[in-house]
Amino acid sequence: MRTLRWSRELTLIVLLACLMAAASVLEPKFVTVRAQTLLATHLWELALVAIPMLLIVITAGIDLSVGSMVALSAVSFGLMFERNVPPVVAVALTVVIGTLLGGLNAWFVTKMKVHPLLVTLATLAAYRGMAEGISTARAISGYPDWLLSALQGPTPVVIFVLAALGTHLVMTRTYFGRWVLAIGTEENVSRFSRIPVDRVKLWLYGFSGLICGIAAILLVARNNTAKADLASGLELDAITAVVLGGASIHGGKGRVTGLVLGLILIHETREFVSWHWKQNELNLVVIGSLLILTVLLENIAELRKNRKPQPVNPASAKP
Amino acid sequence: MATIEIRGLTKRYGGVLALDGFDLDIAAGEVHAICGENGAGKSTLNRILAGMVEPTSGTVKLDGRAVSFGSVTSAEAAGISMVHQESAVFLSMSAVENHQLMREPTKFGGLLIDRAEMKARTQAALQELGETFDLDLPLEQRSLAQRQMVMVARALATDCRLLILDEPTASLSSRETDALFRSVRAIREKGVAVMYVSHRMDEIFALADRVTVLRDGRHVVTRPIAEVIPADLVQAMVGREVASPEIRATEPGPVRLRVTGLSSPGKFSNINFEVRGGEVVALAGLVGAGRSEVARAIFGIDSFEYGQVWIGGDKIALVPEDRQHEGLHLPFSLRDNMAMAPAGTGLIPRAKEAETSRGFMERLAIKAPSDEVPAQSLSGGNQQKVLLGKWLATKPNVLILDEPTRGVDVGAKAQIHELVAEIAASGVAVLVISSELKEVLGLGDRILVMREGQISGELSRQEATQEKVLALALPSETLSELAPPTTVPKKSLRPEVGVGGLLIATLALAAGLNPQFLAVGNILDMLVKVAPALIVGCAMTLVILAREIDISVGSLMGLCAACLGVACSTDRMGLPVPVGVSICLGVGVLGGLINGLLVTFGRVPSIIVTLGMLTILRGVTERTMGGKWIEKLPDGLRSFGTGNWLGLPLSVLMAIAFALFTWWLAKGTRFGVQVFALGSNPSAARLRGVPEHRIKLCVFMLTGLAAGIAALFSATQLQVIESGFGSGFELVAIASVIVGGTSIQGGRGTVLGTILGAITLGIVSTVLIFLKLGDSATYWERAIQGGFILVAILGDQIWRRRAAR
Repeated sequence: MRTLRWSRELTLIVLLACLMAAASVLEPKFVTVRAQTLLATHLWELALVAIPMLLIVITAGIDLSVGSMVALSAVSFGLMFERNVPPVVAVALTVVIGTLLGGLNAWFVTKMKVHPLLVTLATLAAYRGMAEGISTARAISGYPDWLLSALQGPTPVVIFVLAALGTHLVMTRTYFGRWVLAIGTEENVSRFSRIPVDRVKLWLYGFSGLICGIAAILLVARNNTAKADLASGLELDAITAVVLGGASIHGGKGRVTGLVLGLILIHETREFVSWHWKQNELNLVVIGSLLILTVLLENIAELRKNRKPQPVNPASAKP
Repeated sequence: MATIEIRGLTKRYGGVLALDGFDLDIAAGEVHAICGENGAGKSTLNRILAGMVEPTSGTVKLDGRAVSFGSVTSAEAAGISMVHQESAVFLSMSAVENHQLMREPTKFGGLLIDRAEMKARTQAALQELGETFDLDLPLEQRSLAQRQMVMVARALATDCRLLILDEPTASLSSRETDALFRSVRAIREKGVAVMYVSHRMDEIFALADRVTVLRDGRHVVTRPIAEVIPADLVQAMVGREVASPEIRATEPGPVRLRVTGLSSPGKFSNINFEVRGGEVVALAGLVGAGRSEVARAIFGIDSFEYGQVWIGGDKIALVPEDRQHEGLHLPFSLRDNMAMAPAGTGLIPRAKEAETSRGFMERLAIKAPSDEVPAQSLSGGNQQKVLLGKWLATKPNVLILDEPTRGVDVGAKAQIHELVAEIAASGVAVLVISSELKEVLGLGDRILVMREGQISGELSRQEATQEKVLALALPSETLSELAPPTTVPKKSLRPEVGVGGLLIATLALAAGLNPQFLAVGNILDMLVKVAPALIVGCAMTLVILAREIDISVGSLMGLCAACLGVACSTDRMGLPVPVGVSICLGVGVLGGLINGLLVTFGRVPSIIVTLGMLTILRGVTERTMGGKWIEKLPDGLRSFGTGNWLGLPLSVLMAIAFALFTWWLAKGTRFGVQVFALGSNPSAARLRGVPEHRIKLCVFMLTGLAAGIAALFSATQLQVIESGFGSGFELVAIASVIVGGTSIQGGRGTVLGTILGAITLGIVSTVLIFLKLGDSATYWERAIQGGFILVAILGDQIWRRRAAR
C-alpha cells in the first residue's frame, strides 16, 4: 500500500488551482471553454518539443538546439513548397530533416563524447544560422488551405496526446524507460550493467530532432509562414517546463505526468498574464521567476524536512 | 599523559546513535589502531575529530586543552589532521597545489602566491617521506600510492599532534604500504599520536601499539597489541566467532572461459588462461598490475587490441570493484538493482522481477526491511550481496568478481566467501580478483599472479603460500617506483596550443586572401569588436573553472546598457555620465550577486538560475526602456565606445586590463587556486575548508561586473541602444571559453586560452566580410560561426583522444 507523498505534481496542481481561482475572479471570461480552446492553439509546439527534452534531461543531458532545429526544419519545409514539392513528400522530408539534425547532435554526444551542453550550444547557433542562410532571412508563405486546416484544430492535440501517452508508458513499463532513468542516475554503473548507453542516447537526441520536425510543420501551418527566426527561445521554454515538472537537471528524475502539469501551468500563467496586464515583458519575468522559485522552494522544503529526525545510515553518508 | 582525551563522545543521526558515549585516550608517540565492522562508528569518530561533523555531546581535549569543533580548518589549527581516502585529491591539479592548497605562501605583500616557495616546501615534505617525483604534473598522471603520499605529507605539514589515517592502504601495493609504515613509525618517533583505522589485521598487528574495538557506536575494548590475537579482535568486532572458509574439493567441468594472447598496449600484454566450470581461479597481484583492466576487457566494457576471448555459453558477469560508480544504482531499490543487468526488450515483467529479488534476498541473506528500499540505505556488505544478486540473476556461465570483499565487514566477508564457493559448485567458472593474500589463498583452486601487465606465474592451491604469491607479484627489479605500466607520464601539451594554432591558421588564411586584413587599422577595428566577448569570456572562464555556468550574461548586458542609456540620455533622465556609469556597473554586479546567492545559499543549479535570469532580465530590460530605443546619448558617454588613448581604442585597453586582471586572479592568487580546487573536486575542496559560497559569489559577481563593463564599452559605440542589445551574447562568451580549451566540467582551463578563443571567433566573423562573398554572405555569418565552434570542439576532442593514447 503506497502512502500519498508530497510530490511535484501536487505542488503544480495547487499552484494551478490558485491561478485559475484568481483568474476566475479577475477575468471571468478567461476561465471559459471558448477562451481556453482558443488559447490552447499556442501550446502544442512547445508541448511536443518538451517531451524529448524531458527524456534527455533525465539522462543528465540537455538539448539547447530545439528552437533552431524547428526553425531550420520549418524553413526547409517552406523552401520545398516554393519548389513545388508535393505537400505529402514535403511533410515527410521535413520530419526526416529534423531527425537528421537531431542525429548530428547524437553523433557528437555518443561517438565523439562531447558534452551535450556544448554540442547543442554550437548547433543552436549553426542550425539557426543555416536557416537564415538558406532562406536569406525571408518569410516564406502561401500554403494551400486544405493543408493548413488539416494541420490545425485537433491534429496537434492528437499528436501530443499520443506522444505523451506513449512516452509515459515507455518510461514506466519498458526496459527502455528504465535504462533512461538508470543512465541519468549513474552513467558508469549503467555501462557496467550492460545497458546500451550510447544507443539510448542516440535514440533520444534523434527523437528530439524528429519531434522538432513535426513541431516545425505545425508551427508553419499555424502561422501560415516559415521564417528563420521562428521558435527562438523555444529551448528555454521547454527546459523550464521540464524542470517545473519535477525533472532534475542533474538527471535520474522526472515524470511525464509532472511535465504535462508543468506545461499547463506555464501556458495558463503566460496566457493569463497577457490577458490581464496585456504586457509581454511581464510574462518573461513571471516565467523566469516561476522556474527559479519552484526549485528554490523545494530546496527549502527539503532542508526543513532534513532537520527533522529521520533514520540515516552513517556508513552510507560518507563525503 | 595522554595527548588526546575523548570523553563521552556521542553523535546522533536522527534516531540512530552512530557514536554512543565513546571514551578513548591516545598518548603522544603512540600508534592506536581502531577497528570495527562497517557502521560501527569509526567513520563518525574520524569525522568528528577531523572537524567535518559536530558531535551531539562529549568533549575532546588535546594536550589538556579543549578542542572546539567548527571546521576542518579549525581542527587542523588545533593540531588534528586526517588523511582522507583517495577521493579527497584534486586530480587535475599538481602535487604542489594539492599539498599547499589553503596555505599557499605569498609574496609582494600578499599580491602573488609564491609558486617557487610552494614547490620547495612540497619537495621537502615529500623527501622526508622518501618520495621524489615530478611535482608539476597533475596528480591524475601519478600512481595511487604517490597521490596518497602527497596527502600524508599534507597532513604532516601542519603542526600536527594527532594524525588520523583512515584505511590508508586500501589502494596501495604491499611495497608502498611498507613505505607508508616506515613514515608512520618515523612520525611516531617525533611524538605525534597516530590513530590508525583499518580492516586489515596484519597491518594492525604490524604497526599498532594499542588497539580499540568499536561495535554499534560503543567502545568494546582497548588492549595493548601484545596481549591480543587476531581472533580476539574479530570476535570483539562481530560479537561472535567467525569460521574461516572451508576448503572445497569439486571436480572441475568443461572450459568456460578461454583467453588467448589478450593485449592492450599500455595496460596489459599477452594474457593467456582458462577457467573451467566449477573452478575458482584467483587473480592476484598489486594494485595497478592490470588485473581489473583484463577483467573489463574480457567483459567487453573496454576494447582490446589483440587476442581472443572465448566464453562458453556466452553469458558472462562482472561484479566490479567500485560499488558506487560501477556496481549499483544506489538511489534505486534493491529490486530494480537486481533487475538491472538481465537483458530484455519491450515490457518489464514486474511480477517475475519481484519474485527473483525476493529469492535472492533470502538466498544471499541480505539484511533489509524490504526489497523496495534504496540500495544506498544498506551497509557495504549488504550492498555487495545485492551486487552479487544483480549478476547472479543473469544466470552467468562465467562470473568475474573484482575485489568482492573490499570495504566489507568481517561477518559479511565470510558469507560472501561461502557464496562464491557455492556458486562455483553449481558449475559456474569463477575468476576472483583480490589484493588480499588470505582471500586469494583461501578461495582459489588455482592462483594466477599478474605483474606489470603480464601474467608472471600460476600456482596450484597445494603449492601456493603467501611468500610465493608475493614473490611473483612484486616487480623483479626495485627500480621503477611507478607501479602501473600505464603511467609513463607524457608531457601533455598546454591547452592553449590548439586554439593558438587555430588562431594563427585563421590569420594566415585571411591575410593570404586579402593582405589588407593585417593592416593596423583593421586589426584595431577587429579588436574593438572582440573586446566585449573578451571581457565577459575571461570572467566566464572563472565561473566555468568553478564548475558552474552563467547563461544570463547577454540579458544582463542588455539590462546594464538599458539602465545606462535611460540614466544618461538627454531624452530620458539626463543624469551626469559618472552616475550613469556607476548605475550600469552596479546593475551588473547586483545581477551577478543575485545569481550567486541563488546558486550558493539557494542551492539551485546554476544552469536553472541563469536560465531563469536570462528570461527575467530580458523582461525587465524591455520595461526599463519603455518599448522605445534609447537615443541621444551624451558625448561624454559616447567616448567610452569611440574614444582613444595613446592611439588605442579605450575598449581595447579596457579589455586588455580586464584580461590581465582575471589572469592574475586565476594564476597568481589563493582565490584562483581555490577556484580550480572547487571545480576539480567540489567535495574535497569543501573538506579542505575552501570557502565555497564566498568564491562562487565572487565569480558570479565578477561576471556581472564584466557584463556591465562590456555593456558600457560596446553599447556606446552606436548612436542608439536597442532593446535586443546583448541577446545571444552568452553563446559568444561561452564559445570563447570552450574554444579556448577550458573544460565544461570545471577545474581545467586557462584565461589565456579564452583570450585566444575570443580573438579567433572574432576573426572568423570578420574574415567573412573580407572575403566579399556578396550580400548573401551576411545571412550565412551565424551558420559559419556555429559551424566553426562545432569544428573546434570536434578538433579538440580528436586531439585529446590522440594525446590520451
